[in-house]
Amino acid sequence: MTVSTTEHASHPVPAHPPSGMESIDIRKLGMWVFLGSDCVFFAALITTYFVNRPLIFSGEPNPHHILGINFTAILAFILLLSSLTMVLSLAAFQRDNIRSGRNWLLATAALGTCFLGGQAIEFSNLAHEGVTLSSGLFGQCFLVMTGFHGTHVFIGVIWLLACWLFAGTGRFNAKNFIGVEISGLYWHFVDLVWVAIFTLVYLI
Amino acid sequence: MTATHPSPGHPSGTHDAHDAHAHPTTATYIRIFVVLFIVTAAEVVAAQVLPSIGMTSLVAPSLLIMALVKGALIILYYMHLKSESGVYAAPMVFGLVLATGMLITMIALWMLAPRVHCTPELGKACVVEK
Repeated sequence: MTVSTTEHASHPVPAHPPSGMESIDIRKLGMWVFLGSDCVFFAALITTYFVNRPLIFSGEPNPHHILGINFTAILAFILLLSSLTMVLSLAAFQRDNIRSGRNWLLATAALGTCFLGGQAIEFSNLAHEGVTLSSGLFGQCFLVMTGFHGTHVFIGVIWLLACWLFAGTGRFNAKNFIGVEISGLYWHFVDLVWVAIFTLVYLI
Repeated sequence: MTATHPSPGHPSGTHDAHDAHAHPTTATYIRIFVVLFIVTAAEVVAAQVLPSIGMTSLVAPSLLIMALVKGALIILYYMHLKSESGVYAAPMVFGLVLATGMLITMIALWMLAPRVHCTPELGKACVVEK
């Protein structure tokens, strides 16, 4: 779907390739606008954590003592790998290699599920350490922030599986891959947010 | 603006493969992943090694720079902003500027604000630290 100005019946479509705003896909632009707003949403959550950081670190438990950096690094690698499989899926659809595109989509969804499993293990370990939503500032700030990221990953996995199903019906091919492209933008953004959370919350 | 009118070479709801803005090759995607992998490993090592050798002040700047490199690679190559129209980049850049501004402003305000210590016992006054 391309954006074009409203044309009347008396004005035939000009026989030239689209240029400028005409080449802008309104659905892709809509996704970029959403991602821009989601940046602010996650920035608010990270800011809340940072503003409360001195209080969090002055109390017990100390986040650096209970957050498993090596384990979370593995989760970061999993998400980075899923970004690679996502972009390879899109490239396959662009080459009209539907079978390969579907396989990469499934691999991306599987890696996303692995990430969610890892996050569930982490939350479970934190709960055993007494860190819950009602245990104090650290629990509230950390679990809300990473929980919302996990929710984004979960939605992404569902979306990828839907794309995989649609691709099986022949909906996506080299002429029409916008659905995969938009879901890919969302997925890469989820990875991008984890890059920020991993550095700002786990490592610093 | 409507999004319903097909134009020549662009049937409604489709993309032409040749219009795909010269996206990177598979080899480039894999190279980017290798770089992301190495930078992430470097982050983990830096976060654990730098404090142990007494270079704590270098931890935050080095990690922030590495995170920025990773973010830029993902946005430019995996999200294809390097080869896409600036119209797509505008909302993302606006969001990132707003997000960074909020983070810096809130932290600065918090650092400038007086600390108030309150004890839970009734009748105890809160103390404002200047």
